[in-house]
Amino acid sequence: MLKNFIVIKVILSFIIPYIILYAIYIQLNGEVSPGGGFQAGVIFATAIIGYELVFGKKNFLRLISIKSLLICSTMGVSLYAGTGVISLLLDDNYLNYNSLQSNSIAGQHLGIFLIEIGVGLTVSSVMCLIYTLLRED
Amino acid sequence: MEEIFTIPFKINFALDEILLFISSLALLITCFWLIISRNLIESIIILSVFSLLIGLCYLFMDAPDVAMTETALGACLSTCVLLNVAKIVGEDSGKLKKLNTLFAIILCAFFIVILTWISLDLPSFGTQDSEVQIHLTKYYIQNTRTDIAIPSFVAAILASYRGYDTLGETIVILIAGLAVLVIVSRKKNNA
Repeated sequence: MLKNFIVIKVILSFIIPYIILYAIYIQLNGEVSPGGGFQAGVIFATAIIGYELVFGKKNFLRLISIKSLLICSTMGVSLYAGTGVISLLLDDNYLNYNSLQSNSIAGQHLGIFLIEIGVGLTVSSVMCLIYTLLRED
Repeated sequence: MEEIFTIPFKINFALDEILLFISSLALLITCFWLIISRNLIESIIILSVFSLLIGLCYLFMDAPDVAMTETALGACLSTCVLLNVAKIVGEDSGKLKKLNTLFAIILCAFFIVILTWISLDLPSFGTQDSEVQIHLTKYYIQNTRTDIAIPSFVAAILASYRGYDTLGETIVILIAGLAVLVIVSRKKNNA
């Protein structure tokens, strides 16, 4: 795809690393600025789709297989649910992060960080999965 | 630590309102264009423009989270997916048959009247003492600083106060992906 559009191809391949950087920035700064796991995941997925547009499905599937996308999406949900289970094991309510560390505020920070990563992982891999599956062969 | 939590004053109030008005007007024009258009690819592109404009509207209404999501999901991701689907389905199947225009106009007028009538009951934009804002919002704003101590209230509510809801949403997204996988792989097996 995009074989005959050299300008679009060059600009897209130039901008993809910056989109990924922006997604990581939003993921890590979810607590202080707008955005969070969901937004970061969606923006990361757009970067991956841009890669697919530039280099084609064959190269894309060599890099990321459908199986690995499935594993990533399930891992995100299990990271989220597992954080809740850890607080359950530490004699607290499910998904209550106060007991994750000795200081309750530090525990909240750690818990929010972990579940945001889980959400971001799930969202980005599911968006890529849907795009790849509905892509014409 | 204190100055992080001060809510910034709204800069350029009048400019904000004017930009919101202009983008809403552009949104209305886009909607009419979308109704008139009879080509599948053209409709998808107009939908993308619609998402971009409504993202701008959200931004001017001080909701950057929603604006970010709408722009990335609506304008980029769903457009890519829909264009691929349109390529698979073919352009000809998008052509609509001639509809009964009179019936459609009556139905639209009926819905316009009902929705306008209902929207009169809604609180106006930005009111502080509407029904939604007086109970829980107050609690969140007062206690986020001591309970969670992060500057972003949205992240605090989403991840900590309403952790169950977000877990459910994440599972819904996973199930959506799995459903698409099941449907597409079944079609490939049959063919």
